[in-house]
Amino acid sequence: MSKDDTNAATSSPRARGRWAAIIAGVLVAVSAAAAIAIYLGLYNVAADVPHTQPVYWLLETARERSIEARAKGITVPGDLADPNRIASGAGQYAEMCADCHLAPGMKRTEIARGLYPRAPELRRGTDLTPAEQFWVVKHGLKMTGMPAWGVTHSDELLWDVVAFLQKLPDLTPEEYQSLVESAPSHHETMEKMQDHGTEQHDH
Amino acid sequence: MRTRFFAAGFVLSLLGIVEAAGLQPRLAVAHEAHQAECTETAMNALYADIQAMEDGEAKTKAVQEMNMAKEMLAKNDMEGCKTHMHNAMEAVEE
Repeated sequence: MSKDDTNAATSSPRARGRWAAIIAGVLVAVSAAAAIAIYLGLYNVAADVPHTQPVYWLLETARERSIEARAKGITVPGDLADPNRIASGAGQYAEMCADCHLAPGMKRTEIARGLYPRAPELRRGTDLTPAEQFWVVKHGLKMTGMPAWGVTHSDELLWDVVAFLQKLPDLTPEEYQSLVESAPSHHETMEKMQDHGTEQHDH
Repeated sequence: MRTRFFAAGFVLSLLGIVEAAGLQPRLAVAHEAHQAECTETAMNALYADIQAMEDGEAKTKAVQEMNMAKEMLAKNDMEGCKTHMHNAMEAVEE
């Protein structure tokens, strides 16, 4: 058989149809196997049994790409360095975040040790941009234990947390404690202060 | 006599409270210290910690130490395994 005859045999419509059928068959078989495995409960969802590395990579990549895509349109306020924002954010962080994400000078809590995937230790910094941090804090992350704080908190308060996150990796334990102590005593008070400010603005 | 009895009781109670208060930090330290166990649960927990690390020297070291811990466990060298588990934990917390 000449080279031309071989090429004709593999590129003919009949040959292409055969390949398509083989690929479709493989895809159907893999999907069926996956469905059966899921239905039989073969995949271990225990939080104390980590994903295999390929599954972990897949989930991490999906998460990172999703956050990046959805945070693109977010406008970051220009006053994240405002000490008042940072102090407010410190109070929020101590109240809502530190148990999982830890704080300077803090030993790993039982919840931090048991969560899976692990809550990143934000005192070590993060690769996320401020816009991405805001998106995560506001919307949370499915199947992780990270809540959607936007359900119960205004965007302004969440931006305070983001402002604090920019400062957090540089803080000593003493500086962190001092900031927390300087924060408004209760974040509901901060919400009321913001609502009051909004009412005045509307008049 | 009664006064002495109550005074003694008061002092003993006070001592008990002080001792209990003194115990708390030691208990906390025991809880917080690295308790390197060579069990499947401990190794899984450490593996999860390593997965969450950023790539870098600390992660590389943690992976190496964990692999060595597994080798020691396979050889039934529990002390060697615990040592490497401890080293891996140290690397995770760097």
